[in-house]
Amino acid sequence: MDWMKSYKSIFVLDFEFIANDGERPTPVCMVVTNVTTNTTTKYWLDKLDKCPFPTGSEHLFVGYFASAEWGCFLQLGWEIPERIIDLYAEFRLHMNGRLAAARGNGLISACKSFGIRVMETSEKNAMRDLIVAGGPWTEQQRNSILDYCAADVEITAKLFLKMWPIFAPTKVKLGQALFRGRYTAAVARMEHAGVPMDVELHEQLLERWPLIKDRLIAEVDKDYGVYQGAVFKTSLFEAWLKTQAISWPRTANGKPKLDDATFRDLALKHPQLSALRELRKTMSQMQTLKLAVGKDGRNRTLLGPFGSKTGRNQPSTTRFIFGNAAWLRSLIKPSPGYGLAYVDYSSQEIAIAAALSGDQNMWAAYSSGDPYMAFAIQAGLAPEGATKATHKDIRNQCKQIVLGVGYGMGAEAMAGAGGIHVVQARALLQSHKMTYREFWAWAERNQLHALMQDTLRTPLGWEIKLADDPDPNERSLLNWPMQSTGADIMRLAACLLTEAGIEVCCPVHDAFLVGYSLGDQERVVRETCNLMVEASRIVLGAEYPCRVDVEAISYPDRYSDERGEAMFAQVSRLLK
Amino acid sequence: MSTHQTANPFDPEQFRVTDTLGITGDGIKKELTRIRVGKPKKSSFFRVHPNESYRIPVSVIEDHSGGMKEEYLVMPHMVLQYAEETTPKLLVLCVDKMGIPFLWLAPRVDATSPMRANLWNETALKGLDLALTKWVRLSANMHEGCYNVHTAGEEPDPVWPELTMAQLMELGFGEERVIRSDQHPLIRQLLGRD
Repeated sequence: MDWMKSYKSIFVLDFEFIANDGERPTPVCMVVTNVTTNTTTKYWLDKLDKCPFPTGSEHLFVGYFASAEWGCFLQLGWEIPERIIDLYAEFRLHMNGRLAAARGNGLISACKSFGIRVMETSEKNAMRDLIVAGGPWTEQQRNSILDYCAADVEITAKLFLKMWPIFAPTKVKLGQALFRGRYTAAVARMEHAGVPMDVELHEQLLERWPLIKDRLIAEVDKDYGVYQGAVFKTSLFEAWLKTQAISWPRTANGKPKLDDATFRDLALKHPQLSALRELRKTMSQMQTLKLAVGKDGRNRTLLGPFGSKTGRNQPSTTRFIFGNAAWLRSLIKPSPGYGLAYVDYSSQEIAIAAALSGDQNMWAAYSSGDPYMAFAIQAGLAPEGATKATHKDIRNQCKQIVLGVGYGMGAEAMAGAGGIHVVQARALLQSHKMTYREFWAWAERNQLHALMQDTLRTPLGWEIKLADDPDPNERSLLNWPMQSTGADIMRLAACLLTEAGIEVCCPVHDAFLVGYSLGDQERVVRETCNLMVEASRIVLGAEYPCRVDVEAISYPDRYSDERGEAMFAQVSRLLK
Repeated sequence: MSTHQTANPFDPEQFRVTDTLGITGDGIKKELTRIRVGKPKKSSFFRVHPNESYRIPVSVIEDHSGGMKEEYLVMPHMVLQYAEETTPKLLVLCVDKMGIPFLWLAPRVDATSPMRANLWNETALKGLDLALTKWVRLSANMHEGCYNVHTAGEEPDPVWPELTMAQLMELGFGEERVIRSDQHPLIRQLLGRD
């Protein structure tokens, strides 16, 4: 059945807009083509006072990176359409697992890969520069901008017709594509909201960061002696490692590995490394502060929907507050009369693994509320009735194994993270395999199928199919179903929350930061928790609800991440 | 027809799937200009060509001087002369699931072979036998000192390159990695002449 015919009209549209750092988009013009009647209409801003077309479920709306269009809708006070196809999401999905995906996911790349002729990049850049300049534009320039916008709509319409058989061969597939489209509306609403920041402190930091960063290095480095000026010296670091008797992983040429993941793993085992890790991360990301903060004091950046292979968002690590070093998150602060809640799924990967594999032992461990202790007991590593208080060490070791499996780690990495010998880690991993046989049989079957170039897919239809990767990462394939299904749950929860009118400031991996007036706190937090649990039930099945944890803060308190508390205190002292 | 009867993104029951494995698969075909000589990759499923003409016993000298192992084919008339340096191998045409062919220098263990039978060789050869009819993946089991042999179920047969074994060997080794006389640079080096 050709489902395309069931829509009264199909609108392909594109906005040109100005998007300054941290600000909501300012629409300049819009072009829309009605594919059903083959008519194109161009609208300059002065004609956009009300939405010129119906947005109900009988009409299908098509865009490329459609969250940007809905951001303009919100700015204009228009209703976001109910039926959306985002060809960016569909192209990302179509290319997921192919090396060619690395060549770009823009409209031009997508069109080229389907043999559609496109405008030269240099011409596009010139038009973008003209728009970003912000006007005023001459009549001729206005027409050029409208023509440029119309050219994008024309190729988007062609791409839509080429891709339709790929994403809509069945009603189920079309439903999944429309669900991805629905999520682009949620993304636009979250980007529209943004994260409230302590503007005064942010401005202080911006102004004085060049001055205080050297003093911060000197202060933190007092305990290490590994910097010369602002330069981290490997030789000094090696000398410090000797004084601490820390065995450090090496690269092939014998140098210590200095990537953040190595520091993260080793800092778990040797807490004295934490401040140095936070400093290095800060210095690598913050040669200059790039946080995108709008005039309304909100951190706002593209959330990068569908950016990763697992379908998770990939926002900028420098512009997005949660992509930066942990101490900077203390800049998050609700305004007077306002509160924030950080609501996250508890051990989501374990719940997903248990639900999808049907491993009832694993689900029992998750349901116990302490899956790490439960694993220790189930594996015979701790007696019945053991608790976090009575068997802290074995629980911590088991925690690393359980989390490591969820993150796709090998025994060596688990050993590093858990502060245990690799032999112990291997034995614990073996115990995990024996205890959760159904899970491992399911996970390894998925992995083998993926290596055989079969398609892996999540309950709501995100997929990966290896096509031309000559050396795929096996462990990430083992882990893919959990991470990708987690992304399904997050997408659905984002839709439910934003459609319920809850102000979602941003998603953060398995969590949402939501805002509210203080008088409304109890209702909003309760509704957020209920909807997040509901999303997990819908994706995993009614018998597999994921728990959520809440951390609420009210003005004048600020958000705080314990990993960055000490560094934030140091920076605050230096700012005084 | 009312659109409300069509796909509805607000009703997940309409598009949620419980079968999260899709069964599809297409290979990639490309012009063959070179062929890798080496072991099957640990993450790849592969097949061995069923025709015996694509499995030939050879002798090789392994050169480790460049920091990585490189095998040189030794012509039969040279083997006796350099028996200590040469290793018997079975050169086998394989193709992986991506459709990429490679030449596997598999172990050759027989009554006349000086190569010692061990679990690594035995399990590799079991994998080779199975790969004549099934897709096989070998992964090293360091704990047991052998290969784990994984097989996949019913899958389409591979597309084989339309080249003879001689042509494939030429693509794999090139003239410079074939030892035909004492004048070959590797032999001169082994004899201390260079």
